[in-house]
Amino acid sequence: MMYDHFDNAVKGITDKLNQDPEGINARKKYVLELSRLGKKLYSKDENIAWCGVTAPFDLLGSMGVTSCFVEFVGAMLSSTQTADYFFEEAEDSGFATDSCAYHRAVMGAVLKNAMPRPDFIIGTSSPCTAGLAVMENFAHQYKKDFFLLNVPQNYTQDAIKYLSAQLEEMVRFVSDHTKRPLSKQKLGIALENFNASSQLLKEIYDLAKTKPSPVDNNILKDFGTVITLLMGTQEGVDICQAFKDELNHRIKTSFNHASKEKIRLMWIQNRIQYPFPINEMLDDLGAVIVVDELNDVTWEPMDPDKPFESIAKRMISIPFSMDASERIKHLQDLAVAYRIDGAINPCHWGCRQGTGIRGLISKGFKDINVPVLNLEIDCVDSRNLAKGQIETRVEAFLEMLS
Amino acid sequence: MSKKIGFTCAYTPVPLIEAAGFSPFRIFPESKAPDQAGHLLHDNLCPHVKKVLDRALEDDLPELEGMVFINSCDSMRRLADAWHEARPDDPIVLLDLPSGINSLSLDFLSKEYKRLAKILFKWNSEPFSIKKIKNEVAKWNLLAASVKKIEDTMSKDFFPGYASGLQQIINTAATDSTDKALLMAQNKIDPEKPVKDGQSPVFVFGNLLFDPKVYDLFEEWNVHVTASDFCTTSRFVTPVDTATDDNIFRALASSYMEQTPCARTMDTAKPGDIAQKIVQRAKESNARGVIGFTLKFCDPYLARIPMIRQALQKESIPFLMLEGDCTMGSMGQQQTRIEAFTEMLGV
Amino acid sequence: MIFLGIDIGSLSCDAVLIDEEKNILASSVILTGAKNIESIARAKKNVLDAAGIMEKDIRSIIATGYGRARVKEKDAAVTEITCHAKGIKHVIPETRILIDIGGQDSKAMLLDPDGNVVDFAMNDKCAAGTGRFLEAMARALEVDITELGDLDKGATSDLVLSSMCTVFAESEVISLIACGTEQKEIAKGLNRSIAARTHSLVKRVAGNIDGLTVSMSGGVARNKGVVKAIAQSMNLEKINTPETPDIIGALGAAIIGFEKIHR
Repeated sequence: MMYDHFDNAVKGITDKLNQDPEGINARKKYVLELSRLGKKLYSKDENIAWCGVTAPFDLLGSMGVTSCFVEFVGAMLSSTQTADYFFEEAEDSGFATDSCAYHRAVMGAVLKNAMPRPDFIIGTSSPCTAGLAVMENFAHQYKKDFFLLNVPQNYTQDAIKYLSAQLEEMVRFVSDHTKRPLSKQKLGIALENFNASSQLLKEIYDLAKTKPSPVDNNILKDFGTVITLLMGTQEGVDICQAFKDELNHRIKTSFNHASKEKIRLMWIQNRIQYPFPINEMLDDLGAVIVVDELNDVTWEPMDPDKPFESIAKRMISIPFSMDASERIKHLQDLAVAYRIDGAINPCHWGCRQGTGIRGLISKGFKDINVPVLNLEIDCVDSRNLAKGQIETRVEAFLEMLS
Repeated sequence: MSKKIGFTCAYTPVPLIEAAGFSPFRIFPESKAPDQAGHLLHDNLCPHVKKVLDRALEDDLPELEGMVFINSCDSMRRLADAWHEARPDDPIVLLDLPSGINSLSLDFLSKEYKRLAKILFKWNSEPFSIKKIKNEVAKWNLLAASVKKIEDTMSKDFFPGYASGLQQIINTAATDSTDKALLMAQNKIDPEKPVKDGQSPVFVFGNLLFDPKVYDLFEEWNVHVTASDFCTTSRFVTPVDTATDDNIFRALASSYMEQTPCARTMDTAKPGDIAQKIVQRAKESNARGVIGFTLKFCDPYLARIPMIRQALQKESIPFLMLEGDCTMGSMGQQQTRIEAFTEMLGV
Repeated sequence: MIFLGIDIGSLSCDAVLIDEEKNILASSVILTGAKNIESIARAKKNVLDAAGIMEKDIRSIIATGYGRARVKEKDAAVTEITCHAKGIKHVIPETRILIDIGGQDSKAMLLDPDGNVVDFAMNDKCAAGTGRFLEAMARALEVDITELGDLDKGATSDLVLSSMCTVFAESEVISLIACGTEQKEIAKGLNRSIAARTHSLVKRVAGNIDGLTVSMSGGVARNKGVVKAIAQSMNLEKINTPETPDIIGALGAAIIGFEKIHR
């Protein structure tokens, strides 16, 4: 079923791109590449690893492993409105409805045999304890070997050394399973691609800062988290280039007239995954999400001579996973850099890591005089959506800002 | 009056606090402080963490010389974040606790424990002393051995009031001193005559159940607690194996990580091992059924309950899963379930 | 010898008197109200009067239900789970899965062939899918609770209430009414949502129900619409309901009293 879904997506998008050979179509190219990844995950002849969100996908890719974080599937099931069936399966087997729905959906998919069987599992202790628990469940259900990257949450020399050493161990673990040693040359290429993608991302985000912004409410949706799956590849670099070209093109052609952009917003954490007309509502009221919290480059370029240390630093330095003070400082910096008028914090039900500091985040924004709207919503499970209530809150917030 | 160091997680080695000349003060989530933590953090957060934060916000705490936090789960991490707001003058140390048990993790955690020890000695302006730490660890091990003996007695026969008495001893170690707890434990070892009838032998596990009165209630509802696994019972009084490692911090790290750990810690070589450990402990303690009691919104436990249920089912051990907050009120609501469970198990 | 069972629930207070042959001599179902001690006395008096029996002839009193501890004159208190299992065994002996939806709790029980409880599951703290939930919905639909059972007749749409929470569901019903959705369609949607919850409870005690007889007790078993929706959800031709589903707990209690004496 899932293979067919991705296969149809690949065919459909390829057709559309062929009809418009001159167009930039960055988002389409990006979705095409993700669909190809989905197809690879569900085709049985690949080395597959299910991973935690912060796993080093560039390093794994250079070792010939098709890898992905499980939340990607949770988001996809939600966006295609097929998640309810899997939620029910997981809940019937005892997974609490209080748990994060990204994880509940994939656990249901595991129980219904709708996930590709991995060859092994690479868990990460960041960003959240719930995600890690799900990785353990995967290893238990599939009876597959499980490697865990303990990502320390403080940026210290000891922490960097500790994670670098684990990454080296991970390479040995992967080689043992794939029977392929790490090729320095291939890793070098992956890191080069990663650096090129990172540089382009910085440029993309700088363009998004322009006032009025060339972005619309959809183009960079959940981009920062998901693009990490592709950044070590040439395709990743090409996609980043396409996004940069598209934003440049929009600026040149005055895509977004100053009159259209009335309110500049920040979206905290992840977007709502199931169809919910929030973007249309924002469009109607002239509000543009110019920045998402997770769309940022917070790491230094990878040093090919010190690959493990570089990757370790990158993994630890994600503000979302660090102390609240670091995360809030990052949010404040983004707020200033993007000159936002307000922020929306969708407090994803069941997410203790992301929404657990709701109050502290509100205070952080108050300190810099930026209004923030806390939306109590489940971004993945639409069954308890109080649509009218959410719409009223968003509309009132935008009225207040304008 | 002794100088106190506050802490909230069972991965905090009490011997380090006492070696530095402080008294341990585990902040239990018991308070009449109004519910205000949700405002600073989020309402859908672990009630343990919220109640502890309520105590801080309401100043319902003794004078503290400092706070030790452990990055054991997302909620604990958030508690440390909020503490800076709630009590900005408290000196704070936050330890990074690995999630998986392996050689690199134990090395890292030993460094973290050493860092903690140095900070604690510094806070008390005491010269750092390995000898003092070793002495305290030896005393702690005596307490752990006494507690183990009491648990062994509990698993064999039913002695009314015994389980709540054990809880009082453990709470003394957590909020006062190892010496006092040791004295209480030694006085308790010879129990009165066992009662033979009327109770169903049950193993209880979960995250946190600290109020001795809960165990009296269990007895009222015909439960004979044969053994328990909570971060406020056996997981708290962790014996430190000093025989295998001369480095005391490494010994602390491996003992705290490996001995009946919390659901948040895992052995990657044996995914889902927590379920097997619960089956094993239930069997060893001669229990006829198992009751799980977890706090609402506790991700580490919530995610493991299905595999625990599966493992118990495989062994045909009846299992009752309960969820609540830290209050006795939430316990009271479980009466029908627990009584029905014991009626089902028989006596 | 006469045996009395009293089931004091959150909504109703039920009493049953049985004789030496376990024949029901009298039964009574009254609203519990705010003062449950008075209700207990009234229910007891009702059955004694109906059977023409003096209080001194009662050999044993077993209390069950959430207010069981409040029955002062009881010989023992036994939970409603054990009592419902005992009661259903008496009236529908082949029952292996018992669903009991009461005022504030819904329960699923797996029974062994002798009628002993092997496993049970209860709804969590919230009232979704219970008698209270139905009361709230009847209020939102502006019908009497007794009318709710037949309200879904002729409904054709596959509307399902998405909200699980009583509060949200009530506001969802109100907004459906506001949108002009027909009463019968809403009632059917309601029944479906209760059925989904109940089915989920059953799945927790028995993964496979093939060949197991399913019965339902408790006041909500009188609601034909709900019973039918649960049967549909579980892919069953029918769910057995006793003639007087609300007294099964009290009946079980009386039988337990009988068995304690005759053990």
